[in-house]
Amino acid sequence: MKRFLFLMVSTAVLLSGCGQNPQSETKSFIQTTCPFEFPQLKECAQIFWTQGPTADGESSFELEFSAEPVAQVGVFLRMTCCGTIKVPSIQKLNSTRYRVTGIQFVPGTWEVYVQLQAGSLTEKSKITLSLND
Amino acid sequence: MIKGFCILILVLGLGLSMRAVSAPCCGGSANNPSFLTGDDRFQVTSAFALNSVLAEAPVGGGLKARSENDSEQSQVFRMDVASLVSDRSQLSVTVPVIHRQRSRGLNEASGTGFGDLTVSASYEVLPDWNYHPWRPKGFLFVGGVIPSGGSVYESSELYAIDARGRGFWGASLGAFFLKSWSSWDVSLLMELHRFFNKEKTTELGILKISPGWGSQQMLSLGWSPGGGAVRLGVSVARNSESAVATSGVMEGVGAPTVLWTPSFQLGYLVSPDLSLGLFISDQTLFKSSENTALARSVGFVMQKRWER
Repeated sequence: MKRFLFLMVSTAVLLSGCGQNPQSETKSFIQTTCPFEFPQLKECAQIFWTQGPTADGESSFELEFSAEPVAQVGVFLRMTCCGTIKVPSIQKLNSTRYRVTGIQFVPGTWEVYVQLQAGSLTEKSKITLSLND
Repeated sequence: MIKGFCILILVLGLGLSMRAVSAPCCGGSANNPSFLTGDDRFQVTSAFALNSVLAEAPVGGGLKARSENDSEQSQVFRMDVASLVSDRSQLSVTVPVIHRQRSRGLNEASGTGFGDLTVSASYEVLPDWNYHPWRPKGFLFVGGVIPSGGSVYESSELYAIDARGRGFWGASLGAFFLKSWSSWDVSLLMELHRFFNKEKTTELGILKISPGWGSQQMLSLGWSPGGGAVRLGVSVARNSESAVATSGVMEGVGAPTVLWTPSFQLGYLVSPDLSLGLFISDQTLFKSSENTALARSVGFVMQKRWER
């Protein structure tokens, strides 16, 4: 009976995922998450907020590319209701990481655009933020 | 009769003062000109309004109340000066000074400065015929907006508190009609305006901002009990602005704005050359506004006139 109970509990734990390898889970997360995708330039970038995002103060973030971009990197913000465009400061930290500062949102819905420009080719990718409350 | 017209002038003054901060998100709208509608050669109108933003009208319409910890107010002082140029033509200038403040939780921002300046020229196309049963007095006007108030496009402060105007040069064309019968009066204002494109140089290239067309209509009705010095008035104004489009750095179009403003007024003719008034307006009464902040306002207006 004890053996049977042990077997049942072990099976349940394994099925619930407790026994999964944490490394394989992280790998899977990176492979499936690409908020900023640039198919023509074969690039992918993720955003890490270092301040905010908030409408109640300054916001800033860092941008991590999957590989060193062979293009000029730009960032701008667009408020969807009003067509307001803001261009914050961007600073290169290393070959794949950029810091974006000086963002002053107002409450509302915003789009954060990352732009890559390589010669005549310009690719934009965006995420949407709702900062109502 | 003179009393009636003087009070009508007051109505227009009241209609003016509530518009200065109509859309905090996207700046104010165009201002109506000030008219000399009576037998005067010069007039000065000063108005003070307290506006409190209560809700937002989302892009698709409806009403979304502001949260309790989000408080936004503005105090607007406006000075309108109008002067005759000839027997039937006149010029006017409007100068608003705006104080805005907004607090959300522990964060607060405030600022004071000029709003957008307005100049206008009008011509009396329909002179007053008192004896005529329905023909109104009528004016045609052209106006210009000078973007002295700053806007969300240049704003750098928290909650864009330093945005007190549209941020574009503008031109307007319109007509104003008014008619009174014994103790009743009615007026209608129709206006079409165009804000002009502007370009900004950014690190990513040239950004072109195209605000486009807009319009205003205002219908007012007044009653002076016994044809006396007191006037009770009600008015409804509709203001619309086309969506702002951008090109260059970003090809995109925002959403159009519609704002309805019902207002109630109490006017008092102190003397033939001096009027006082109070008004209250509430933009949340109608649920037809779109893509704008909605405010409740109370205000005081005073007008001094100099006879011809």
